[in-house]
Amino acid sequence: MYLKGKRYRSHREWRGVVDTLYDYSRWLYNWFNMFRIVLSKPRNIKAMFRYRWMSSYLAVPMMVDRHTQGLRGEHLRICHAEQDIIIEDDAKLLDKLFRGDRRIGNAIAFIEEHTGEKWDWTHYFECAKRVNYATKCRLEWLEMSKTPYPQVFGSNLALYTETNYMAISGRLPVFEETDRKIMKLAEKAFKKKKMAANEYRHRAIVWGVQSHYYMDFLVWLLNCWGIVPLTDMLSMDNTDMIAEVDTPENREQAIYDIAKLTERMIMRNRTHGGYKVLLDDLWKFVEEFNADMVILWEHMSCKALDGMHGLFEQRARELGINLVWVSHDLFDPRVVSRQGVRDQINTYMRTVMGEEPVDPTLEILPDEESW
Amino acid sequence: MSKLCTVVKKLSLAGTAFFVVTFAAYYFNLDMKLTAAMEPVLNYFYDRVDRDQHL
Repeated sequence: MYLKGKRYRSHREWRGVVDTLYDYSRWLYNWFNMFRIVLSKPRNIKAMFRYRWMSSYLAVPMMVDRHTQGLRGEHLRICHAEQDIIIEDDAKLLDKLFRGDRRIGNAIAFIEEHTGEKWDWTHYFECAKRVNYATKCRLEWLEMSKTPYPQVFGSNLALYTETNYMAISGRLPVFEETDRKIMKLAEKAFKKKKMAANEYRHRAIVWGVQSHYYMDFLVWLLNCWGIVPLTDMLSMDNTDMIAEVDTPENREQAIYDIAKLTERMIMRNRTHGGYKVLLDDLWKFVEEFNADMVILWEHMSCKALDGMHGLFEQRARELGINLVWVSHDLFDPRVVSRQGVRDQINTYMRTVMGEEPVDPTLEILPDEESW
Repeated sequence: MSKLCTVVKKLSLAGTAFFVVTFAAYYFNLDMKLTAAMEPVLNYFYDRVDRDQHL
């Protein structure tokens, strides 16, 4: 059956009369379904000739053949029950996808039909203006953090950026008012060279994904050891302005802007792009922010970051940057407790840095049962 | 009755022909062989699609 150098096999399997006729009937059913749902529509034929990956669906019957190899009786029928429904569902999904594809369908009409809402360009560009204002504010706060007098940093920066960028995305005017309020406070404090703690000893970039049960760790770093968490990985998102004026060209640009904001969003912008965005960019920020330390959150179940462990250490060694690993298990404090997180810093600061804490009363905290 | 017989005969013939053709396509894997033959044709179209490099 196998033909060397060929994509296809010479013939299908003979399974006896009953099972072969059964397999034949399912083959016919799958082709009928693929044709009925996908290939009968001109829009989807356009997609077939536009997207290279669509052509792989023509080999779907071969995928079924591979999984039914040697099967007879009930086992053959079980396999088909599973495979055939997946094929039918996938075909329906493709049909829906192409309806929303702006190159061959109509994304806005698709949304309007399925949500009952009308696309409102005026509202879209109002939101776009707010997104730009939020970006502008965030960039100014980061510029302040490059100086000896950072004002919006640590959890104040991290939690707010995550919410504003991901959840709000310009939708709510109240967040623009909040941006203005924060900006005013930050400018006032910056003029006075205000500090947020008694002593600043180290300037740190926080990298990796924080433990979700210890978001206030950054405040503790500042107060216990004088480590200023200038910025963190999840706050370093899109820095470009998007189109905010309603013109025909900008309505076209809007689609690209939405794609760009999605591409550069929290997490995605560091996990898609290889070591350039996860490893190299860290050292770029270390230099920009004049940092002497990196606090590297290491979620122990994260293959992406854990896999780069050695590369981070090697680069830190080359650049002479103090890199402190802080291991955690994301949502589960039983594996590494909050004190366990703190102890990793305590140990490093005492043994490697040879320092005493700014506030020793904060080194050990009885917060195991605390919310 | 005779008309009914004619219709039944024609339908049976059509059904048999359909079965023979499709079963032959199924057993001799003609659908996948055709797909393989179509690959260069489809590649011709894919290579000519104007790719949007807009950022």
